Amino acid sequence: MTRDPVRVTLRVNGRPETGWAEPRTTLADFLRQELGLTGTHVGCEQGVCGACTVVLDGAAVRSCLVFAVQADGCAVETVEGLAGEGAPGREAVHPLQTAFREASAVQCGFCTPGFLMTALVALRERDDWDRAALRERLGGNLCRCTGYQTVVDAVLAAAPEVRALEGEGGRR
Amino acid sequence: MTAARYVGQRVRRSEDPALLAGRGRFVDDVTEPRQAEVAFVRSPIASGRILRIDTSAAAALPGVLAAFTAADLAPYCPGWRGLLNWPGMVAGEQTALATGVVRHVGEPVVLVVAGSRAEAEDAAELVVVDYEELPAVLDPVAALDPDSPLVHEDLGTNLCFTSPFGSGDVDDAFARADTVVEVAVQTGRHTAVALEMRGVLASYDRDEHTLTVRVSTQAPQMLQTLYARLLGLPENAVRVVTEHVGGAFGMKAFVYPDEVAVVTASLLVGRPLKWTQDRYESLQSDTQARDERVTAALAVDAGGRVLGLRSEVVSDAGAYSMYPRGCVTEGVQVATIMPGPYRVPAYASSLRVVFTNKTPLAVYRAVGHPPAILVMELLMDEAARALGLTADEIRRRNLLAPADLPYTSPTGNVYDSGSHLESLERALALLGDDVGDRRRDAERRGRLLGVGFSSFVELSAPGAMFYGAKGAPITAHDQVEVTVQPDGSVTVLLGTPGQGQGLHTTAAQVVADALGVRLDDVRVVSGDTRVVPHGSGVWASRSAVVSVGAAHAAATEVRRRLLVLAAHLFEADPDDVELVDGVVGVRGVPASRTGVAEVAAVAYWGTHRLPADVEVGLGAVGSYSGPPYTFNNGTHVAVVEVERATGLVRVVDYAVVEDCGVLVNPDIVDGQIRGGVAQGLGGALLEHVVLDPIGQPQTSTLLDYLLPTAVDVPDIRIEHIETPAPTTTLGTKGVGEAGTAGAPAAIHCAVNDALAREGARVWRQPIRPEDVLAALTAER
Ligand code: FES
Ligand code: FES
Repeated sequence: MTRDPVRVTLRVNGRPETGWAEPRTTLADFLRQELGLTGTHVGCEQGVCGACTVVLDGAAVRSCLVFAVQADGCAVETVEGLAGEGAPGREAVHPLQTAFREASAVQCGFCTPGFLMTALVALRERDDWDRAALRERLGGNLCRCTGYQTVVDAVLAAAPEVRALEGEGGRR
Repeated sequence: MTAARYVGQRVRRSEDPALLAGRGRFVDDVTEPRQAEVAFVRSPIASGRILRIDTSAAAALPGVLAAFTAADLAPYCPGWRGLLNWPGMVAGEQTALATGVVRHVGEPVVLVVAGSRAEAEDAAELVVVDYEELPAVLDPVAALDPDSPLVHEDLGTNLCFTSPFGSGDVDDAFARADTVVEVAVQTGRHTAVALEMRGVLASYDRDEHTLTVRVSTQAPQMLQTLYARLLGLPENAVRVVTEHVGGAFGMKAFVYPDEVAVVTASLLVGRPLKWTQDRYESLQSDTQARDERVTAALAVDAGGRVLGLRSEVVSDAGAYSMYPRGCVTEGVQVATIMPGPYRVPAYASSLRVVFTNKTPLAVYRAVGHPPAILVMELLMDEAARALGLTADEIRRRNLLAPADLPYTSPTGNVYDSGSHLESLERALALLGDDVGDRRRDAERRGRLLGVGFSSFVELSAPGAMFYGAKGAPITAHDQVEVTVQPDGSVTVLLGTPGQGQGLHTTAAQVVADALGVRLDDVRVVSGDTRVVPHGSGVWASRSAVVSVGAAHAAATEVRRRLLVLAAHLFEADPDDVELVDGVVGVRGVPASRTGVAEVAAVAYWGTHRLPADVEVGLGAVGSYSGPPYTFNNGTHVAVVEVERATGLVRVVDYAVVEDCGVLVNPDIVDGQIRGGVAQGLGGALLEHVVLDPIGQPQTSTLLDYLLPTAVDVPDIRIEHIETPAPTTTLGTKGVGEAGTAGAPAAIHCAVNDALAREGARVWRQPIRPEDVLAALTAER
């Protein structure tokens, strides 16, 4: 198997990005190291913790389980693109981010980007989650700090606004 | 005096925006120019002699810069022993890389440096290490047999430490008892699993002879001192940087051999070296905890009042006593915390801490409390069953009442304040009176419902006697520097960093109140030893007492100086000057009111207007060292359903009554409690480091080592009682570990309450479905 890096081009948060990746380089490592998008975190590289969750062509995926070359030509959404552009001192904030802060859903924040991306896709699907179903849906993301309750609160609180913002099927 | 305006409020955290935007700065997020990366070759066996190491093939691989063994690093970094001066304690030597012998699976043996992590890992696979495998010591009780193999030959024993604890005439108590109940309890080895794994980025400046280490730790200054000592550098040449920490829970409060190896290698390679742990390494090399075997007996009179308590604790220390906290704290706390919030007139405990060929055991959130509280609460329930009392009634008869306080426990712990009995009554109220209905409903669904209580005390914010007086570079103090800048904005330099709990926000609230300024004008900085004053780190639920105390002291001093300065400008008496909401003025003279900025500007840029005896600048360092400890207290109540067919346990309802004194930020406190309960739930039902009969870990991924998910943890109802600590600055008591302390007992008692209806019980954690089924089957 060749180890030579190949060119990978994808749309990240709406912008075209190009970089080099060995065939074995994961999308998580590509985003973090090649593109400098360190908001996507790596908590296990075993596909279990969900910290590395990004949105790939509309689906929430674990970027530690996807090779960068597999994502060639795809659209990737990461936590860095969630809020959109703002201005210095008036940074844009996505309703999910606001809701997480208001609900005290962040402690160390290491799991947070993964939860935000999982929640984003969940809320694009529907905005009428009941608590138990949402807990199941978030069950693939591990948090060691919060005990999850406030994360569930935050996602439920953000639902109407995210739905309004994203519209049916999402904006990207 | 300014009335408290921010303390007690649910202020939003200043930490959140960066973390929510994905702009945190965890160690692995930072890259240095010309950075190289490290991978380790670790021991694949639990015990063995290293016969030969061949790194030639690895070193020849393109991109590889170096491959170091113990012999390469030894000239630059000596070994160390995790010894505290507990009488009779012994500890074997630990080195950055294993020297001659490996003592647990995962012990680092060879360090490989390459241009990238992938290259370093490729090279590590080419390193050849020949071992003579030795029989592994895996059972701490068998390890005490004189014929047992030794983990550390030079110690001549596997017994690390043994000690009696307690006071009072226990024999007499048991002789007088109406009823005696006994339990034998085992808690499974677990580990912290901080979601951010450990990591280091070390750079050595060969011109300045300075070392900069960016590391995910709870105690930067401790590492600064210890890196300097180990490497023979002056402390002013060592800078430790810790920005965001993705959870730590006690596990990141140590000198880890792999981290020391990276730091040492950075001196030799001359390029910045980064090592980011992977989860496989984390589950083998992060400190572990809770591996305790306890037998205990409770003597009660006919009315269910406790006469005496006995316990024997065997603590499995693993292979090394990790420096500097060592491996005995957990066992000591199991033994000494056990009497808890109850009147226990006589207690005798014996503790043995034993070395085995396992990953080192050390402190993990609530250190020793979970097993201690578990044993006591199980005993209470057994005594209640024997006497035909309810679980709440036997506790009511034994819990400390206000008239009992201050109370000295039979192990010498002084509880100066608290709401031990009240917390139980409030927890009962939270539970509600529909338990009978809930039981019948569960029965219809094929489930046994159980209710469990856990009344506890938690030792927090320990003083210097805890470690410092035992010879470790861990003290009880903290320093905080508060500066009012020329424009009136306020900079707070915290000696101690956060590990994700919102300490910047908490400190800002305290400083804003103490100074009399707006919260938005306060900016908090921590985590760079070149910038911040000294601190002892985040551990033992201490920040809300110690860091907050120091912040308050600094802000109070700055306020005093600001008022002196203003008094001079106003030509008034300092006692007549007030500072409220960032506005300074002479009391009763509205025309004098002016912003802090105007006064502050004079302190720096208008010093010509000041007489010689008024100090220029507006900064002060505040310190806090505080009482020997505080104790928070509380009662948890858990409701579980046990599925008869599968043995699966689900926690369906959970309520906490917590008294941690004055609350600085109730949302942050609640977050600590909920997260703590989740970790306690993990310990009770899921988390277990499993080894096979030759010491091979069977839990090498997070699919095998089970953490609680959003499905496993229920919504948790919390009520606070605020009994101020009489001895701390703001009356705070610390709370970071209380959730984890109380939860395993509440859940276990609930399971046993359910099983007891069928005459069954379980005595081990985690409570696995197969154990539940076995217990139920045995009774049929
Ligand atoms: S890092 Fe991808 S699931 Fe954990
Ligand atoms: S906030 Fe720390 S892991 Fe979730």
